[in-house]
Amino acid sequence: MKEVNTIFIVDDDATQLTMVADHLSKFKNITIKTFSSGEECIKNLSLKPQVIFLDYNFDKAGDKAKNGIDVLKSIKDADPSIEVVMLSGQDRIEVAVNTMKYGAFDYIVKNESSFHRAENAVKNIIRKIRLEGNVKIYKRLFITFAICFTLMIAIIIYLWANGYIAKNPGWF
Amino acid sequence: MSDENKTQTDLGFLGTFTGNDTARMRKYITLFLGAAPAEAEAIRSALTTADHEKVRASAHSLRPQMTYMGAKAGEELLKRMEEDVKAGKYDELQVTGAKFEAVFSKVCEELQAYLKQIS
Repeated sequence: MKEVNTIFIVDDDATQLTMVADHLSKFKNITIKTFSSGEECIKNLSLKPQVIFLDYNFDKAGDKAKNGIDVLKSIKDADPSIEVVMLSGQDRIEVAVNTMKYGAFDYIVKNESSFHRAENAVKNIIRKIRLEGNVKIYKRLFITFAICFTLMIAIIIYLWANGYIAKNPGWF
Repeated sequence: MSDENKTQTDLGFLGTFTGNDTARMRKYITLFLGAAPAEAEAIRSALTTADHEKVRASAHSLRPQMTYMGAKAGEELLKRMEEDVKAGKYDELQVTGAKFEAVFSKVCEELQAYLKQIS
Protein backbone atom coordinates (compact mmCIF):
# COMPACT_ATOMS: atom_id res chain seq x y z
CA MET A 1 0.00 0.00 0.00
CA LYS A 2 1.25 3.50 -0.87
CA GLU A 3 2.46 5.49 2.19
CA VAL A 4 3.79 8.99 2.77
CA ASN A 5 7.58 8.72 2.99
CA THR A 6 8.85 11.82 1.16
CA ILE A 7 7.64 15.40 1.48
CA PHE A 8 8.92 18.38 -0.53
CA ILE A 9 8.71 21.92 0.83
CA VAL A 10 9.15 24.62 -1.81
CA ASP A 11 9.47 28.27 -0.76
CA ASP A 12 11.81 31.13 -1.68
CA ASP A 13 11.62 32.47 1.90
CA ALA A 14 14.39 30.72 3.88
CA THR A 15 12.79 31.42 7.28
CA GLN A 16 9.42 29.95 6.25
CA LEU A 17 11.09 27.01 4.51
CA THR A 18 13.21 26.10 7.54
CA MET A 19 10.40 26.56 10.07
CA VAL A 20 7.95 24.35 8.12
CA ALA A 21 10.66 21.71 7.55
CA ASP A 22 11.62 21.69 11.24
CA HIS A 23 7.98 21.45 12.32
CA LEU A 24 7.25 18.53 9.97
CA SER A 25 10.41 16.68 11.04
CA LYS A 26 8.29 15.33 13.93
CA PHE A 27 6.99 12.73 11.42
CA LYS A 28 9.80 10.26 12.08
CA ASN A 29 9.52 8.00 9.01
CA ILE A 30 9.17 10.80 6.49
CA THR A 31 12.09 12.35 4.58
CA ILE A 32 11.76 16.11 4.13
CA LYS A 33 13.43 17.78 1.11
CA THR A 34 13.48 21.56 0.73
CA PHE A 35 13.75 23.64 -2.45
CA SER A 36 13.83 27.39 -2.98
CA SER A 37 12.22 27.41 -6.44
CA GLY A 38 9.52 25.59 -8.37
CA GLU A 39 11.99 24.65 -11.10
CA GLU A 40 14.22 22.83 -8.58
CA CYS A 41 11.18 20.99 -7.23
CA ILE A 42 10.09 19.85 -10.71
CA LYS A 43 13.65 18.66 -11.50
CA ASN A 44 13.53 16.44 -8.40
CA LEU A 45 10.10 14.84 -8.93
CA SER A 46 11.97 11.59 -9.75
CA LEU A 47 12.45 11.28 -5.95
CA LYS A 48 8.71 10.46 -5.89
CA PRO A 49 7.34 12.73 -3.16
CA GLN A 50 3.79 11.96 -2.02
CA VAL A 51 3.19 15.47 -0.63
CA ILE A 52 4.48 18.87 -1.73
CA PHE A 53 4.08 22.11 0.25
CA LEU A 54 4.29 24.79 -2.41
CA ASP A 55 4.61 28.57 -2.09
CA TYR A 56 2.11 30.57 -4.15
CA ASN A 57 4.54 33.43 -5.00
CA PHE A 58 8.18 33.08 -6.03
CA ASP A 59 9.01 36.77 -6.27
CA LYS A 60 12.50 36.31 -4.80
CA ALA A 61 13.41 33.48 -7.18
CA GLY A 62 13.70 35.97 -10.09
CA ASP A 63 11.40 37.47 -12.71
CA LYS A 64 11.57 34.37 -14.92
CA ALA A 65 10.71 32.00 -12.06
CA LYS A 66 7.50 30.01 -12.47
CA ASN A 67 4.71 31.06 -10.11
CA GLY A 68 3.03 28.62 -7.75
CA ILE A 69 0.07 27.87 -10.02
CA ASP A 70 2.38 27.02 -12.96
CA VAL A 71 4.44 24.74 -10.72
CA LEU A 72 1.23 23.12 -9.40
CA LYS A 73 0.11 22.41 -12.99
CA SER A 74 3.52 20.90 -13.88
CA ILE A 75 3.45 18.66 -10.79
CA LYS A 76 -0.08 17.44 -11.52
CA ASP A 77 0.86 16.81 -15.20
CA ALA A 78 3.87 14.76 -14.08
CA ASP A 79 2.01 12.77 -11.40
CA PRO A 80 -1.63 13.50 -10.50
CA SER A 81 -1.37 11.37 -7.34
CA ILE A 82 1.04 13.84 -5.64
CA GLU A 83 -0.90 15.88 -3.09
CA VAL A 84 0.01 19.58 -3.24
CA VAL A 85 -0.63 21.92 -0.32
CA MET A 86 -0.35 25.60 -1.26
CA LEU A 87 1.28 28.09 1.15
CA SER A 88 0.56 31.78 0.72
CA GLY A 89 0.44 35.12 2.46
CA GLN A 90 -2.80 35.78 0.56
CA ASP A 91 -5.91 35.33 2.66
CA ARG A 92 -8.25 36.05 -0.28
CA ILE A 93 -10.76 33.26 -0.82
CA GLU A 94 -10.58 33.52 -4.64
CA VAL A 95 -6.84 32.72 -4.55
CA ALA A 96 -7.55 29.60 -2.48
CA VAL A 97 -10.40 28.55 -4.79
CA ASN A 98 -8.16 29.02 -7.82
CA THR A 99 -5.49 26.68 -6.41
CA MET A 100 -8.15 24.06 -5.58
CA LYS A 101 -9.39 24.30 -9.18
CA TYR A 102 -5.96 23.15 -10.35
CA GLY A 103 -5.97 20.21 -7.96
CA ALA A 104 -4.39 21.49 -4.72
CA PHE A 105 -5.28 19.35 -1.68
CA ASP A 106 -5.33 22.30 0.74
CA TYR A 107 -4.46 25.98 1.01
CA ILE A 108 -2.63 27.38 4.03
CA VAL A 109 -2.25 31.08 4.82
CA LYS A 110 1.23 31.92 6.19
CA ASN A 111 0.69 33.00 9.78
CA GLU A 112 1.31 31.65 13.30
CA SER A 113 -1.14 28.77 12.80
CA SER A 114 0.28 27.69 9.44
CA PHE A 115 2.70 25.16 11.01
CA HIS A 116 -0.07 23.40 12.91
CA ARG A 117 -2.22 23.42 9.77
CA ALA A 118 0.65 21.96 7.73
CA GLU A 119 0.97 19.13 10.26
CA ASN A 120 -2.80 18.48 10.04
CA ALA A 121 -2.63 18.48 6.25
CA VAL A 122 0.03 15.73 6.36
CA LYS A 123 -2.12 13.70 8.80
CA ASN A 124 -5.17 14.13 6.53
CA ILE A 125 -3.21 13.05 3.47
CA ILE A 126 -1.89 9.96 5.30
CA ARG A 127 -5.49 9.14 6.29
CA LYS A 128 -6.74 9.70 2.72
CA ILE A 129 -4.02 7.47 1.21
CA ARG A 130 -4.83 4.70 3.74
CA LEU A 131 -8.55 4.98 3.00
CA GLU A 132 -7.91 4.81 -0.74
CA GLY A 133 -5.75 1.71 -0.12
CA ASN A 134 -8.56 0.10 1.92
CA VAL A 135 -11.14 0.91 -0.76
CA LYS A 136 -8.90 -0.79 -3.35
CA ILE A 137 -8.61 -3.92 -1.15
CA TYR A 138 -12.41 -4.08 -0.59
CA LYS A 139 -13.01 -3.55 -4.30
CA ARG A 140 -10.70 -6.46 -5.13
CA LEU A 141 -12.36 -8.66 -2.48
CA PHE A 142 -15.82 -7.80 -3.84
CA ILE A 143 -14.81 -8.59 -7.43
CA THR A 144 -13.25 -11.92 -6.35
CA PHE A 145 -16.41 -12.80 -4.40
CA ALA A 146 -18.65 -11.81 -7.35
CA ILE A 147 -16.62 -13.98 -9.76
CA CYS A 148 -16.70 -16.98 -7.38
CA PHE A 149 -20.44 -16.60 -6.84
CA THR A 150 -21.14 -16.32 -10.58
CA LEU A 151 -18.98 -19.41 -11.27
CA MET A 152 -20.79 -21.36 -8.56
CA ILE A 153 -24.19 -20.47 -10.02
CA ALA A 154 -22.96 -21.37 -13.52
CA ILE A 155 -21.71 -24.76 -12.28
CA ILE A 156 -25.02 -25.47 -10.49
CA ILE A 157 -26.99 -24.55 -13.63
CA TYR A 158 -24.69 -26.75 -15.75
CA LEU A 159 -25.05 -29.70 -13.38
CA TRP A 160 -28.79 -29.21 -13.15
CA ALA A 161 -29.25 -28.87 -16.92
CA ASN A 162 -27.22 -32.02 -17.57
CA GLY A 163 -29.05 -34.07 -14.99
CA TYR A 164 -26.17 -34.42 -12.56
CA ILE A 165 -28.39 -33.13 -9.84
CA ALA A 166 -32.04 -33.98 -9.45
CA LYS A 167 -34.63 -31.58 -10.89
CA ASN A 168 -36.22 -31.56 -7.43
CA PRO A 169 -33.55 -32.51 -4.90
CA GLY A 170 -36.12 -32.19 -2.13
CA TRP A 171 -34.45 -29.23 -0.55
CA PHE A 172 -37.73 -27.36 -0.24
CA MET B 1 5.12 57.58 22.56
CA SER B 2 5.37 57.23 18.77
CA ASP B 3 5.01 53.76 17.20
CA GLU B 4 8.70 53.64 16.28
CA ASN B 5 9.80 54.09 19.92
CA LYS B 6 7.74 51.21 21.32
CA THR B 7 9.14 47.70 21.65
CA GLN B 8 8.55 46.28 18.19
CA THR B 9 9.05 42.56 18.71
CA ASP B 10 7.40 39.93 20.85
CA LEU B 11 9.16 36.58 20.71
CA GLY B 12 6.24 34.80 22.39
CA PHE B 13 5.26 32.90 19.24
CA LEU B 14 8.84 31.89 18.46
CA GLY B 15 9.25 30.74 22.08
CA THR B 16 6.12 28.57 21.84
CA PHE B 17 7.07 27.26 18.41
CA THR B 18 10.54 26.18 19.55
CA GLY B 19 9.54 25.11 23.07
CA ASN B 20 11.79 27.94 24.32
CA ASP B 21 14.79 26.25 22.73
CA THR B 22 17.21 29.19 22.43
CA ALA B 23 19.37 27.43 19.81
CA ARG B 24 16.37 27.09 17.51
CA MET B 25 15.24 30.62 18.27
CA ARG B 26 18.73 31.86 17.37
CA LYS B 27 18.58 29.89 14.12
CA TYR B 28 15.28 31.47 12.99
CA ILE B 29 16.22 34.99 14.09
CA THR B 30 19.55 34.67 12.27
CA LEU B 31 17.72 33.52 9.14
CA PHE B 32 15.39 36.52 9.45
CA LEU B 33 18.28 38.96 9.96
CA GLY B 34 20.05 37.42 6.98
CA ALA B 35 17.14 37.72 4.55
CA ALA B 36 14.80 40.48 5.72
CA PRO B 37 17.13 43.50 5.34
CA ALA B 38 17.47 42.73 1.61
CA GLU B 39 13.66 42.64 1.37
CA ALA B 40 13.39 45.94 3.23
CA GLU B 41 16.03 47.40 0.92
CA ALA B 42 14.03 46.17 -2.10
CA ILE B 43 10.97 48.01 -0.72
CA ARG B 44 13.02 51.17 -0.12
CA SER B 45 14.50 51.18 -3.62
CA ALA B 46 11.13 50.33 -5.28
CA LEU B 47 9.57 53.26 -3.39
CA THR B 48 12.31 55.54 -4.73
CA THR B 49 11.76 54.40 -8.33
CA ALA B 50 7.96 54.31 -7.87
CA ASP B 51 7.92 50.63 -8.85
CA HIS B 52 4.66 50.05 -7.00
CA GLU B 53 4.18 46.42 -8.02
CA LYS B 54 7.65 45.62 -6.66
CA VAL B 55 6.75 47.40 -3.40
CA ARG B 56 3.60 45.29 -3.12
CA ALA B 57 5.39 42.02 -3.93
CA SER B 58 8.26 42.67 -1.48
CA ALA B 59 5.90 43.81 1.28
CA HIS B 60 3.80 40.71 0.73
CA SER B 61 6.85 38.48 0.86
CA LEU B 62 8.26 40.04 4.04
CA ARG B 63 4.98 40.06 5.98
CA PRO B 64 4.92 36.43 7.27
CA GLN B 65 8.51 36.74 8.54
CA MET B 66 7.56 39.85 10.51
CA THR B 67 4.62 37.88 11.95
CA TYR B 68 6.90 35.11 13.22
CA MET B 69 9.20 37.67 14.90
CA GLY B 70 6.15 39.14 16.66
CA ALA B 71 6.64 42.47 14.86
CA LYS B 72 2.95 43.34 14.83
CA ALA B 73 3.31 47.04 13.91
CA GLY B 74 5.73 46.21 11.08
CA GLU B 75 3.36 43.53 9.80
CA GLU B 76 0.44 46.00 9.85
CA LEU B 77 2.48 48.60 7.96
CA LEU B 78 3.40 46.05 5.28
CA LYS B 79 -0.24 45.08 4.93
CA ARG B 80 -1.16 48.76 4.61
CA MET B 81 1.50 49.19 1.91
CA GLU B 82 0.00 46.30 -0.07
CA GLU B 83 -3.45 47.89 0.29
CA ASP B 84 -2.13 51.34 -0.67
CA VAL B 85 -0.71 49.91 -3.90
CA LYS B 86 -3.93 48.07 -4.70
CA ALA B 87 -5.96 51.25 -4.04
CA GLY B 88 -3.49 53.44 -5.99
CA LYS B 89 -2.83 55.59 -2.90
CA TYR B 90 0.77 56.30 -3.83
CA ASP B 91 1.22 59.40 -1.63
CA GLU B 92 0.09 57.44 1.44
CA LEU B 93 2.34 54.60 0.33
CA GLN B 94 5.41 56.84 0.67
CA VAL B 95 4.35 57.85 4.22
CA THR B 96 3.66 54.22 5.19
CA GLY B 97 6.99 53.23 3.64
CA ALA B 98 8.89 55.78 5.75
CA LYS B 99 7.12 54.58 8.92
CA PHE B 100 7.93 50.99 8.03
CA GLU B 101 11.60 51.78 7.56
CA ALA B 102 11.84 53.22 11.08
CA VAL B 103 9.94 50.28 12.59
CA PHE B 104 11.99 47.75 10.65
CA SER B 105 15.31 49.12 11.84
CA LYS B 106 14.00 48.95 15.44
CA VAL B 107 12.92 45.33 14.86
CA CYS B 108 16.42 44.40 13.65
CA GLU B 109 18.04 46.22 16.59
CA GLU B 110 15.86 44.38 19.09
CA LEU B 111 16.51 40.99 17.51
CA GLN B 112 20.25 41.61 17.43
CA ALA B 113 20.12 42.62 21.09
CA TYR B 114 18.24 39.40 21.87
CA LEU B 115 20.86 37.33 20.03
CA LYS B 116 23.59 38.99 22.10
CA GLN B 117 21.64 38.34 25.27
CA ILE B 118 21.32 34.58 24.61
CA SER B 119 24.85 34.05 23.30
